[in-house]
Amino acid sequence: MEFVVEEGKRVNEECSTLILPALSIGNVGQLAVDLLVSSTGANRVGYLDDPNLLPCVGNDAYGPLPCGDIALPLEVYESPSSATTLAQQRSTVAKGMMIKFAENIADFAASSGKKHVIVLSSLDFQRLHHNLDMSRCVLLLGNYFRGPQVYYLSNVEANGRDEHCERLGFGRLNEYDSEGRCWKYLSSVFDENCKEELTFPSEDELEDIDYYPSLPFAALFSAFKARGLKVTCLLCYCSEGDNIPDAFLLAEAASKLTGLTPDKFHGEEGGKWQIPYSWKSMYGAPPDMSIF
Amino acid sequence: MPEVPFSGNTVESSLQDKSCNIHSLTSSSTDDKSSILLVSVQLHVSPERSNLVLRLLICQDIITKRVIIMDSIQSRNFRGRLSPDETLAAKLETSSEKKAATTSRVNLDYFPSGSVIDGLSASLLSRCQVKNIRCSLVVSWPEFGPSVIRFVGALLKSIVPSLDVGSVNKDLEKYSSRKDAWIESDLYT
Repeated sequence: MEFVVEEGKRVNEECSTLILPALSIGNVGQLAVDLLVSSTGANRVGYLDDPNLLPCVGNDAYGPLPCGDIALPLEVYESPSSATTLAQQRSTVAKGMMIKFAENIADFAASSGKKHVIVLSSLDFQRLHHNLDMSRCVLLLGNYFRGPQVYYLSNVEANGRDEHCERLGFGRLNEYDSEGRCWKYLSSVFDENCKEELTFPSEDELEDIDYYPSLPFAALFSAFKARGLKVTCLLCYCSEGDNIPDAFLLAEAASKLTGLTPDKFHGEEGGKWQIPYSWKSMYGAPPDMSIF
Repeated sequence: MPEVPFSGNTVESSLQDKSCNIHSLTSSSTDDKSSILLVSVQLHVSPERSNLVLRLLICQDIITKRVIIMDSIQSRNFRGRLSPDETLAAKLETSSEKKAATTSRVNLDYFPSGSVIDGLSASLLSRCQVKNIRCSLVVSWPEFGPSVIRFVGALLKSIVPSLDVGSVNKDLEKYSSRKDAWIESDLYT
């Protein structure tokens, strides 16, 4: 993976926090990063060129009007006012290459002096329903939930717990089990000193407990952890559909975690979330009214 | 690429071949030492293979100063309305292309924000951006048909005035027909 600084730009070494998405159901992590880039007025400082990412290009996603600046698959933005670097991933990782991709991006984070990495992602809502237990008490009456809306996984403590996240009201991802076969596999893959040769179960062998470590956020978590970086995954349960509210949820959670407050944003009317220009056409063109 | 069968290809390059052909157009002027390469990609390159093909085209033996890529708008990635009766075209450019003199650039509106282009052309444009090479990606719609062929021909003529597109237009229109697309199937040689 090559980090290419955009012409005329320089990297701010004070930006010690990195926020990036892990691809997931509803693309919620990516939408949340879009919202953060747009609202904090973060500037693009460069690109990450990785052969494991499938190619895609587009026009500038943020606006206020698209001016023809091309958008690439993996871009790096900086918001010096919040000491935060944001990486936006727009295309998928080639099949079978997630481990290599995670390794590469962890290398980038470590070599560029990042201290804390925040991974934004989402989980299939059907899994929450499936894992229903009394301590979570989920009521599906008009989508009313009793329970945290944002979950987290951290490497601050061995069991995934982080006191700071607890105080912010995030729910710990109880399904994390560092001794589980898939989590152990991920740890071993990124650990240069690991002599144990473990294998990831094949698709036919996967069980319910393997759902979480099979997701991209788990590979990223394990890779950053192996590089000695503090990593926090922020997750929300959702379904495919209109995932804008989920994006706001995750973006707000990331803001709380980094100490960002809305008055530091550069949104319209001062200090509010700014909707990225590219979201205006998220659901395609309006219907053809001439048929009526 | 092992997944691409060459059976059915001709020795002389043909529009019906599943191949990637590179043609050289050298300027006849003694003062102009530059040459133009025309690359015709007549086979499907999967996104996973795009990086491999792009390195063969512009990152190793071929050193380019400027690249112009022509592709079709992919309806699955386009967020606007695409009518089969309407010819559309748009562009994306690298930063170095944007900085060049307006008269030397392709005169088209930018591709709308929110829609994306993937595949080999995206891979090429991305690489040119990273390597600071002047590059324009022109995408047109519809994918097939005489109207888009005429548009592409006119565009090529504006970029390479010495190209005689008029004499080949009829042949190109013959090959660019959706109803003949089944002949391109891998089942037949």
